[in-house]
Amino acid sequence: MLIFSISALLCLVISSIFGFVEMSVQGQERQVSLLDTSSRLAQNNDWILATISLLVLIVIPSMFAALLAYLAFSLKMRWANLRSIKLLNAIAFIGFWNMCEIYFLGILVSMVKIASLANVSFGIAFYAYAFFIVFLFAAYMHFDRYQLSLLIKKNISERQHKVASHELA
Amino acid sequence: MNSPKLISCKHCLTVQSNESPQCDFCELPVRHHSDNNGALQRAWSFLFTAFLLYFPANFLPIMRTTQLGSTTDSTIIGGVILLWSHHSYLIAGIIFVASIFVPFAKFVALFSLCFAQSRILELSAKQKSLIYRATEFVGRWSMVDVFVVAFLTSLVQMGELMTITPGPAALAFAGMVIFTMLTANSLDPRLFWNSSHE
Ligand SMILES: [Zn+2]
Repeated sequence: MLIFSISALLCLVISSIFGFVEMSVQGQERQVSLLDTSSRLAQNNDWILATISLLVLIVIPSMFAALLAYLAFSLKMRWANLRSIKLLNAIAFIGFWNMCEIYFLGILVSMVKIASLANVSFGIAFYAYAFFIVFLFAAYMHFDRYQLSLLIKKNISERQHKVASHELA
Repeated sequence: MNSPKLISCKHCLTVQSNESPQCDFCELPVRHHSDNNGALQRAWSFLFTAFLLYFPANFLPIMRTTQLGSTTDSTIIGGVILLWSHHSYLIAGIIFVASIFVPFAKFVALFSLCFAQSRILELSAKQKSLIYRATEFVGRWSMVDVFVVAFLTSLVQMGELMTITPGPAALAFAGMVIFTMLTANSLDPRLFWNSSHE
């Protein structure tokens, strides 16, 4: 879970640096980056769609990956405590609202739709985003609430045991 | 049969007696059955809101394409027909399933769940859990059309040559999907098993 979620975050960084898709119509060219998708909508005063794009493509999935990485890291370092249970809640909540793979399908559909009107091609960021989704889901596959809550409980009891044996000695 | 009353904590999943309001392990509140009515009422109101949005979402234009001075409006059904006539059968199929079939099936599923929880309709706990999981998994995919419009709007801004703007149905559609997700979210799947034992 740790490796997958960190790989996912790296891919997200790569995909926000490079060009996402390119299109040209009758000599006019246009390149769009990942962040452009919502800033262009905002320039058009489509505030609601701009917010949806920003949340769905970037904010929610990056929080999702970051929280998964944090949880995996704290379990590995045996830091997990009662607050980690709340983290499980938060991750499940974000997982419920995470829809970046659906947006990605929407982008594919869009490209097919305008292929008859313009020349379109994918940039590096597009492929990086595809890998981001794969890694994010690989990490999320290991998010089993029951097993994780057992692990958190184990972390806590191990620490209590250590404190107890320390006091005895 | 007189089985002890047990409940699983919705935070850490520890199974315990349902007498204390707090979880034995994580000390967070264990949601109790008395919440049932509030949650069910919320589910009903979300569902009705979503259902009202279903009509503008399907009959108003979702996207407006301006090409060399002429403007064409497209609805969801129109888009499917257009893709089909362009021989993009796979994409036409995806859009048909995601935007027309799934929302309709989801309304049938959510209405039957809400009716069952309000004890108007008789469904077994197994049936209810199955319907619930299916709607939770499949419902979100109907957002795909909204994302198509959002992405095309941001990509195709070429002034006189070609410009795409969202139509009023785009927001209605997004609202519809979000409200159906809220409906599913306010139904507590643990309650399905509860009512079947009584
Ligand atoms: Zn608990």
